[in-house]
Amino acid sequence: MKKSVAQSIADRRILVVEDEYLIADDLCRTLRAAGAIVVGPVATVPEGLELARRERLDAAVIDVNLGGEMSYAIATELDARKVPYLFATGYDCSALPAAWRRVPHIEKPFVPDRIVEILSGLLIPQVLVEARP
Amino acid sequence: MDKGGTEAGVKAADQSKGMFDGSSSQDCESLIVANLQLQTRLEEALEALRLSEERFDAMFRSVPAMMVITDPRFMLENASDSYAQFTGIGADRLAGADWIDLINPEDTEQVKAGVRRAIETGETWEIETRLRRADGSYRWTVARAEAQRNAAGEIERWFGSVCDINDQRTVADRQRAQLAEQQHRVRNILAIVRSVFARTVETHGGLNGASDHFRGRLDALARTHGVLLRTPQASIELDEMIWNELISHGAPQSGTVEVDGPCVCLRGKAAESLGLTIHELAVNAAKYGALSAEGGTIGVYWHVEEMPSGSQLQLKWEERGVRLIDSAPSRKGFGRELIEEALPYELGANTKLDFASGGVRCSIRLPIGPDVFVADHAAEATP
Repeated sequence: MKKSVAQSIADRRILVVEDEYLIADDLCRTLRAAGAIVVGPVATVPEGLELARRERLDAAVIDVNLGGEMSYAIATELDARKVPYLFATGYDCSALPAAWRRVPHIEKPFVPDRIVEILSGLLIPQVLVEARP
Repeated sequence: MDKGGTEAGVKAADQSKGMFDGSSSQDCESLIVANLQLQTRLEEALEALRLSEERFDAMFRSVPAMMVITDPRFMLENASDSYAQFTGIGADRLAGADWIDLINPEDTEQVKAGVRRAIETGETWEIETRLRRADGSYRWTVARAEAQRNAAGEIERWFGSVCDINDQRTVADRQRAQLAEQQHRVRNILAIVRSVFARTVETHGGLNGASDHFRGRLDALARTHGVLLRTPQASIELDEMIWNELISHGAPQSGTVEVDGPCVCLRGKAAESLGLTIHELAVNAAKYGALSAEGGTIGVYWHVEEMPSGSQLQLKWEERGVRLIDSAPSRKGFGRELIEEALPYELGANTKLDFASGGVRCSIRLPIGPDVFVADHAAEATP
């Protein structure tokens, strides 16, 4: 498979799951500034799961630890729906369970702009999105 | 062993018989003596060997560590009693490569690869795997295999030892988890500091105006974390938190300030966010509110209320006697954002902030939970 070309995140629907208000707000501002439509933000696993199931999404940014609860259930749901996502985490990558180590991630504290860059690389080209049933 | 001894004896006798022919009696005598001496030494050697083997056998069987002996291709030949006890498989049923079935399936591939490498290189190797115990549970063990070679340098067998390290592994796992948790907390707080800094600079139009505000916020975060980081379970009393902030902003302990409520403790995120909120309220009071004006007073009161949705902490911050109060600031300051946005988002709080005549009024309702709880003083007696 050819390496996918970076896509613009403008008008794409991005789910944000992050329990720290300030970080969530910074993230949302950055995404909106890049033209994205923010879904959320939400701070808990049940809320994140609900949006991951219900909303039309192009990508997601998920904090791994949400108030002490791990957010893998949300990631599993997104996997099932083939929605690309990245982990924003305070953990060192090696501290994650083996099954999740390969997920694209960004370690805190991060520069919010870097998120836009990574998301651009993850997005499925718009043409293909529209072709999806 | 006995059979071997007899054979050796017969052989020696045969040899000496042949030597009688055509020999002098003196020669015969010395030969017999030599022969007897030889025989005695041989018997002694055999006895020593027998004892040594017996000792090895006893040791091999009884050592607390599990011992195994395999052929050059890791087919099991013998195992200690401790191994049989651990696995629940008697020595009579231990054979061949069946031992691989005792390894946790998740570790099997790694073990097989290790075996292949060992056979190829003949090097001593060590591996940590989960081994099935007689009761069906898996325990972490460390296994080590060392080759025994013959005179030609070929591997004759492998000596293996297996030690149960489950308890150590559990402790190490817990330490790793704690370390990751600390790392998570430190990185999160760094991300928050970065965000607070950016917001402070943004609101105060540049570094100069922002520096005092930022230092104050950083200090407030540090005060809360200083208490919280003492132990992972550490909590801070609401009373202490409020007084810390008030005193560091020049509030006298009596007269203008009243702080009253039951013993409520805060942990983690709740402590961090509420600490920062109280800090913002105190700064505001010191600059524009009750702590800045002659005759101004602050009352901070709280209680726990039983609601249909569960217990809630109801906290009120009330300033009085402040004459010069502007109407509510149009620009959303950091403190206001914390109260109106961050607390509801992070802690599920219901909040209200009024710039009423007389002074600031703030009301915060927080669900009681693991991070916000009423302390039992008897249980919390230790410092």
